[in-house]
Amino acid sequence: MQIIVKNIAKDYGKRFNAVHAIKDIGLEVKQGEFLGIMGPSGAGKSTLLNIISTNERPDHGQVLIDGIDMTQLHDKDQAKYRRNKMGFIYQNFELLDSLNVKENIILPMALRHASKRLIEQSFKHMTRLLNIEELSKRNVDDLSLGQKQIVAAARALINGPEILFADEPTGSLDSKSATILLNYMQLINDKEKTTILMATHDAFTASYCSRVVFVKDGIIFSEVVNPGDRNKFFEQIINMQRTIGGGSYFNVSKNS
Amino acid sequence: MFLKIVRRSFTNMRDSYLIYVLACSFAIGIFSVLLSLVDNPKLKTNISIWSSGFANITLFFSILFIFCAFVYMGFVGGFFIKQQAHEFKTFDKFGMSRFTILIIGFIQTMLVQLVSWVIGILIALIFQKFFGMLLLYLMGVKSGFSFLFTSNTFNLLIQIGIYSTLVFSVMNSFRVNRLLKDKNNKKISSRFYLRIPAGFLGVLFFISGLFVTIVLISDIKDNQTNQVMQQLIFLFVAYLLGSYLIYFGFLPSLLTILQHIKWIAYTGINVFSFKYFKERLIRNNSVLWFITELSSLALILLSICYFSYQTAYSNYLYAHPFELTANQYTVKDIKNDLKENNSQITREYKTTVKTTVVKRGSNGEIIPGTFMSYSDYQKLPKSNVAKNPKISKNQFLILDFGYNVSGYNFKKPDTAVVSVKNAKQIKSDKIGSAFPYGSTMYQGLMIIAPDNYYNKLQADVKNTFYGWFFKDGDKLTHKQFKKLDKQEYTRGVLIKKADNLNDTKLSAVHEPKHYQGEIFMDSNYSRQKTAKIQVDQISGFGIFIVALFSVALLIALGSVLTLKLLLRDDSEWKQLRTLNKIGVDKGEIKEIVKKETIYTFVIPIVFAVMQSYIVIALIGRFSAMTMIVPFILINLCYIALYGIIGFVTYLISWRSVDQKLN
Repeated sequence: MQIIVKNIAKDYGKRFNAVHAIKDIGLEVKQGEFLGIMGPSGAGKSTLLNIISTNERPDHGQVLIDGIDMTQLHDKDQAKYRRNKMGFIYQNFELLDSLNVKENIILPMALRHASKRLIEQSFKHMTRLLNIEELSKRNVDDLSLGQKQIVAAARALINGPEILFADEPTGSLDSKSATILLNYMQLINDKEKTTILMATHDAFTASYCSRVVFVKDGIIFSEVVNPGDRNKFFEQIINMQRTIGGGSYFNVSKNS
Repeated sequence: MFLKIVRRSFTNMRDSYLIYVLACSFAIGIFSVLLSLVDNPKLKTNISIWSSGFANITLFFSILFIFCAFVYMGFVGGFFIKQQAHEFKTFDKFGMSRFTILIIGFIQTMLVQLVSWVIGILIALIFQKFFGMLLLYLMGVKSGFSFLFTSNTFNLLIQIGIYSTLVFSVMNSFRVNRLLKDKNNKKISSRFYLRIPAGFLGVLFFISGLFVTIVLISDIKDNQTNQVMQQLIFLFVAYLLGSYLIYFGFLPSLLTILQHIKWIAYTGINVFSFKYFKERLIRNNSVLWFITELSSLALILLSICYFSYQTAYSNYLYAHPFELTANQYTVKDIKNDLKENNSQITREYKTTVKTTVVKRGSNGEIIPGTFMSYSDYQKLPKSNVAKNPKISKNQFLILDFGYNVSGYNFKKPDTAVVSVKNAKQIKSDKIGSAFPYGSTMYQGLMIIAPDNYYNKLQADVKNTFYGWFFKDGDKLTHKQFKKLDKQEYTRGVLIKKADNLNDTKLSAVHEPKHYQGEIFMDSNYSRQKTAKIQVDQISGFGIFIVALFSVALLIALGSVLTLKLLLRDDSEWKQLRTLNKIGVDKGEIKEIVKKETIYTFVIPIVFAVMQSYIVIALIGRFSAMTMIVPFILINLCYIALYGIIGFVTYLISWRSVDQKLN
């Protein structure tokens, strides 16, 4: 599923308090690509991700997904598109406290009115794949941060989304949990050819991507393409961070 | 800094605060109006019994009103503190001194209370004249109302306002303190091991309550008093406890069952909404129960009040079917007065009657019986006797006070048997109580007899009744009326009983003093206007007070439900936002808000209507009265007003959710 972002801009606040979160960004993501979006805090990564995922509307510009201009769709159609074609993983998990693990995971399928049999099959498959079978009846509050993020990933992936959005997915995780999650994401990207867009400021996390774009002050500053060697790619990302002068703001992981 | 935090809290919860302030201001406004009416000189001069009766009743109701308003303020004021629990705990974590946080809670409450009092007193100042005019209009007093707010009333209001504000502010500071001391984030526990049996017990109580009600209603006559009392106590416990346990156990358990039926739960948003509703229900079950019971009480009281008004009005019509009535003793004076005043008579009636002794078959009581011929009866205005059963020229009609009066039905027999002195015994199934010239004009029974029977009847006393209708009233002056009033109950009949009915003597008496025997006095005249003034004043005052109380109660109960719906905690807001993020469109979230509003408003009103109906049916059965029409009318009004509040709540609730989602 190809994504084309054309000259989008987004401001927050009004008049003198206005903040230009995104000034003028153009971007193209190929089908099956694992794209990283990096930048310091407040650079506009999450805003860009939210606009592409239709959770926010740009002030101007277009977001074309498979030729459909998402900015022109009605709220209801956008929600339907999100439900059917997209999956989401957030730093703060965004799990529903009222529901237990199983209910959280199957929610996107229930929303699609999938059959009970299919829901059960998909749930079993997903929990086996992510090795969280024993968690299914637990309450969300009783899970560790890592477990919560895996559950969030399961919820994002159960529908077999064509695009997966991940906003700082490893931000709340320890290195071991982060590695497990990233390996799963890479597996999905390889096997299912799912397009993944991931915002992060962690170089180690970004090194799992096939390409990383760097956002600074609301514009795309640069990009680095994975040469096929993750260590080398990690070095390139670190160098780029130093180049754009944001090194002190970046969380350079030592787990490379 | 304090003010900035307080201002932000007000901004964040502006809809909820607005509802609370309006509800409090309305209550304070009504209280202030009632208090100011107590001393109003216009009411004292225009309503003769204001100082001796109505003023004290108004004062009592104003005290009762403000007491209820304080209960509301104390209870609902805590909602806002609870809503800010997370914020206060964060201040505490950041190292803000506990005293400072308490002061924030204190200032917030104080400002809200002061604003409510200021608006409430302003409402009273602006609308006092309106309410005064309304009261006079309802009481049928044709006079202007002058605005007056004495300095005493004003000082009293200011003092009550300041003291209550301080009390509620301190109360909320204590609430903040308790919140801060409570370090554990109490997650509401499902406790289904408790809820399932409790729910089962609740349904059992409710169904057994219904069963006992049916038994009581169907054979109440056969029940012993002790047994009836036991059944009533059981009913009271069964309905109160039953409805609470249904809220506490049955409804959450039902939602849990639905949640586990996969073909229902795994469809669309149900997977979320069943659990969300259940959590909200568990959180609010005490409030919902409290509102249910108060609504039941309101419906019962309103139905009884409305019924009492209808009965009083109906009885007044029975007592005074003509605008002016006289008998042979008062007719001369009245006719002179009418002539003197140039009263315009539109219709005039005259009927001769015979009085003798009769024995009521049901209890063997010997009383006077006044007979009217069928032909004379037919000449009377149809409206005066419309409620009596229709008779043919050969039938008897027995009129006895208490039968067929609207609303009453005191053990009306199927057949009345009346023994008549020196005449044939009468048996008739035609029994009524609409006395053609008003019930006060004679004592005992009145019998409409076939002409043949009437002509043969030997009368101990003869009398003639007169009745008039006028254009623009009878125009009797106060002096004339006072003179006429002196003749009331000055004449009547005396019964000297003997072993045999035929030997019992009945004679006319005038201002009796030392007669031996049983005396039955007649009123000699009946004036509709005099009674109408009293009925209008009492019923108008009753309607005024009851209407104010019911509207205030409705606003209070409605606002509690509205606030409970609006004040979602952080986790509940977050969940609705998350749903939207993962692809639930706003229409579906709106549906959740709509369903929640519907069940929050509908379930209490359904229970309230059921419970109040049962109470009304039981009262009706005990007292042999039927209140079904007023009950239906009151319920329809109540449901309509509740529906409007529910709809407005839904709009506000959705608006606040929509704002959070954007």
